[in-house]
Amino acid sequence: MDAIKVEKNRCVLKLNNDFYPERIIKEGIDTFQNKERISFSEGRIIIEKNKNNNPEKVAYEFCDYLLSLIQGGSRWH
Amino acid sequence: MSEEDSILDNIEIHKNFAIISINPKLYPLSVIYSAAYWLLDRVHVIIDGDPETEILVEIRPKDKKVDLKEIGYEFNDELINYSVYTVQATRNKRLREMIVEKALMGNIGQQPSQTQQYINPQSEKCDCPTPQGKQESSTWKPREQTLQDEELQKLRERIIPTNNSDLFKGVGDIDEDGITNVQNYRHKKDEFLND
Repeated sequence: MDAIKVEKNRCVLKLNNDFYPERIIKEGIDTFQNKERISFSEGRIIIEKNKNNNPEKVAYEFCDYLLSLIQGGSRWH
Repeated sequence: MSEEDSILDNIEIHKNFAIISINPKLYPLSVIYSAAYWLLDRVHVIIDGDPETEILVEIRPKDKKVDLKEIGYEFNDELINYSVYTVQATRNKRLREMIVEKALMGNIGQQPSQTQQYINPQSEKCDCPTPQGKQESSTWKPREQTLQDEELQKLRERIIPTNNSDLFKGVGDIDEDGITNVQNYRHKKDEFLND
């Protein structure tokens, strides 16, 4: 699975919209933006490296957060 | 695949992660989400694939001590667990709605409560039916009415039945021995645990 691609100073996350709808992704980004440098562009989520974070780890935590949003009550499906 | 990789049933195990393949015709997406959510305390989860043909769930341990094979098997168990839950919830949906509806209507006061139906507003006498027959006591109120010994004994029998033949009287095809064992376990749990 090639959902996560680690680059030099950032991590690019390409999630399947069938399982992670855009609305949920945007909601997740709104939450993570407070502490991480994260953006959403052309269907991809980009997590930039800053002083204290590991972009790959943040990417996995972001995916877990999206799953909890889906499970927690969003009735998109 | 390297020597460390292996395939077990629907689980493809790699060095640092595993991929579980799921047939979407067997398990709806809601069940897969629930099973994946169950594992979030131990693994990271990413879901991919084709919702029509094959769903792939990638799991990565958060801790080195986590056994990917065991987590994979546990995930399969949780798929079945949540599938059963979903089926039962669907079957009981109408019954649950009726119970909630009745409870809310009782609270709102759209229907009089069962006790209030029997109170005569002029004399405040309660004509609630009891096992002995209707009471016409001027001071009778629920919980102040004492039961006769015989009625009390019958009530005790219903709460803690000792004889399944009486409990299931008239009901055919009951495995009374099996039910006795279950009920005995429920009421005499300590004895069973100490065996």
